[in-house]
Amino acid sequence: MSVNVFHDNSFLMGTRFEAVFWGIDESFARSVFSEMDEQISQLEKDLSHYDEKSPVTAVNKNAGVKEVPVPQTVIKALKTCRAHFEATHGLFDITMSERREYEPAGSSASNNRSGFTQLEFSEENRTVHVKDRGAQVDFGAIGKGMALELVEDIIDKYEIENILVSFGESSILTRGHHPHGKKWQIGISDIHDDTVHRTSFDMQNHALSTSGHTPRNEGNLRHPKTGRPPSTYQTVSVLASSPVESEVLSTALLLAGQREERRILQNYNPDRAVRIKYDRGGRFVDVHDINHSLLS
Amino acid sequence: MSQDLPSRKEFLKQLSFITGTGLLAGSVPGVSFADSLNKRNFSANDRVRVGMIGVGSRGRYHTIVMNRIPQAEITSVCDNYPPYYERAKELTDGKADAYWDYRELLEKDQPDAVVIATPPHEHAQMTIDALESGAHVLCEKNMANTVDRTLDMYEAHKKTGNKLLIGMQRRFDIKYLQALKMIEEGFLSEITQIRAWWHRNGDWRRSVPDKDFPDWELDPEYPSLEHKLNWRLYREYSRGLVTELGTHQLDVANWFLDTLPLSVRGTGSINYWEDGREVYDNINLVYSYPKGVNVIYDSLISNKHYSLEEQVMGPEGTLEMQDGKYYYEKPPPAPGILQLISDIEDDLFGVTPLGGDSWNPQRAADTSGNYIVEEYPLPNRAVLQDEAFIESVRQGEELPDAAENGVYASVAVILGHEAMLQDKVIPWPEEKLAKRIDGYRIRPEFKS
Repeated sequence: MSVNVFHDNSFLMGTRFEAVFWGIDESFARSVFSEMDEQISQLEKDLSHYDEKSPVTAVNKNAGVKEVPVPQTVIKALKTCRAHFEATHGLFDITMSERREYEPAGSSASNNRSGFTQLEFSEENRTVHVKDRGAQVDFGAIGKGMALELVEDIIDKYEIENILVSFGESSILTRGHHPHGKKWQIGISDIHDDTVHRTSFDMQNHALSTSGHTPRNEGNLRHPKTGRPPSTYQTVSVLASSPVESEVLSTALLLAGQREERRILQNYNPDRAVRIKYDRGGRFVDVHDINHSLLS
Repeated sequence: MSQDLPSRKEFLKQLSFITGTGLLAGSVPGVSFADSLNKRNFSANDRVRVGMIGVGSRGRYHTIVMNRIPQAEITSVCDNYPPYYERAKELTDGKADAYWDYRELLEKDQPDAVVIATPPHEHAQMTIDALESGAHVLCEKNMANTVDRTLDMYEAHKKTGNKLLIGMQRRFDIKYLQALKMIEEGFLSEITQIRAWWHRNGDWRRSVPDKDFPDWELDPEYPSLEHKLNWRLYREYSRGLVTELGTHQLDVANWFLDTLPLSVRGTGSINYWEDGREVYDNINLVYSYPKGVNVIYDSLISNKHYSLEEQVMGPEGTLEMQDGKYYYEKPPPAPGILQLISDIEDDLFGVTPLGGDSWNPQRAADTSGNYIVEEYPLPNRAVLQDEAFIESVRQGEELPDAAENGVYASVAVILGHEAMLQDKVIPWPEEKLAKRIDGYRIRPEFKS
């Protein structure tokens, strides 16, 4: 029995946003996708630090100079980020400073510039001020999760039962199941070979996020306190009910040492978190479940 | 200025690159002789003797360009307005013979080729006279103000066998050639619409001096010096925006669609520059082409925010040659998504290899447009056009369909003007063209 499938995609937040619907009318699916596209575009306009005209760009340009008025979306995003900054004990930090990597770990300069200590925002006045000229706000590590929260709202509003949404392949949201199975099964690909998956996740009403320190994006993520990237090539994938939570945790756990891992997971309850390690040549080494290993 | 006048080596190198697949051979002016040019060395004696007829604004530019083409020698200049006449003599350092009357130039100088850059109502007779005198002609657009006079020029070209090139300079633009190649390779899938516009913000006037020129009489066809200098604003001499600007862009539409309009409808008005001019200061036209494709054109001179562009659109993407960019309609789907869709359609269920590092476009430009041609600066298309004309004369090679393409663009904009004037849908004069143009076949749409 053939199933009607509808797929659409577009460029959003610097990557590929895709949705696969099944079992619903195509024109209805097209309208729903269009609404997702519009809402994410608006969020991108507010949160992007690449867009010259965005409020975040204005905040960054005025770092160390003055406070800047911003829309409510930015305030809401900052509140969310501050909560996760605290819950991850500072490992999830959207105010990375390039200068930090040159400073010794634990130095006073480093600590003073850490995370939200340099960021002031007022809900009442809707203003943001980055106090340190060298610090910059970057929602890149959470933006896709926030966008997927908007997608969730649209899915709920239109009572979409079965859908798979992919944001740059690293952030996935599902509802319901595959038409020929009781779930969606998503494989985490080897960093060098897309055709090989190193582990897979069973998804129903879930969000899955993967962060990586790989030869392709070496140095993109650094430990906020040491300024150093992870010591080995690896990816961390987190399955959770909340897309923002899976996004935050995949980033924080990628940077975390074993002790930090435990402290972070006391504040979260993901369905599953998996670390896949590679050697210096980028060859697969092993895969293990983080929270399972902690529980054991 | 050096950027405006690139070396011909640079031109040939890039043209050779673009036409390397042979896809465009035969359809692009300049390609056929460009190959032979690489193989042949010319002596100084091979210079083409050129007469410049009309050296006002555009003619002045052509004069400067021709002066810099080693294979061309300006032997005569002509203008019947004193400041231009004197300037032309200066531009050629007094080496060229100067004439007030183009017929005298043709008779006495007997140039190999002429460049005609006078108001369009003068083009037809000057071109016909030049062709019949034995000269090859590069004539500025628009060819004429009526279809019949346009065809008279074409017939003189066919009758004499002398070359006729109309100044459709986009045909010599590397970006346009590369865009056409992309279309032929399927970038757009197919062309479903072309939208073109040319916006300026200004009165489009030339200043009229109040001083007298002793011993000089204004041509009787002009009631005043204002009419002579601002001929673009009066219907007796020009059809305004559509013939002066639109003709370039309708030529692109004909070229890229590789066919001709079936009809045109439109409207125009003077809604801002109410200063005694007769031609519209804003125009809006829709040209219907075969297969239901429309070309939407507008021009105005009271806002320049969007400047000028020709957008060629299809289900897979958009080309904007003036800006030099192309845009994908959609990013390519992730391989994992393609597999998932395929599995669903084949009633299969399994692991979808999707999760991993975030996919990034190959370049940031993928989301904000990619450059049609990566290498800049590009040779100036107007310079390449003049070089191509000179080379075609020297080599005795035809620029493929150069005269015909000029006719079609000229007819398209003349009809556009008629559509606005009469407030009617004007059909393409298929039968008339079939009678007067060699090899023109009546299309199926007109046979019923």
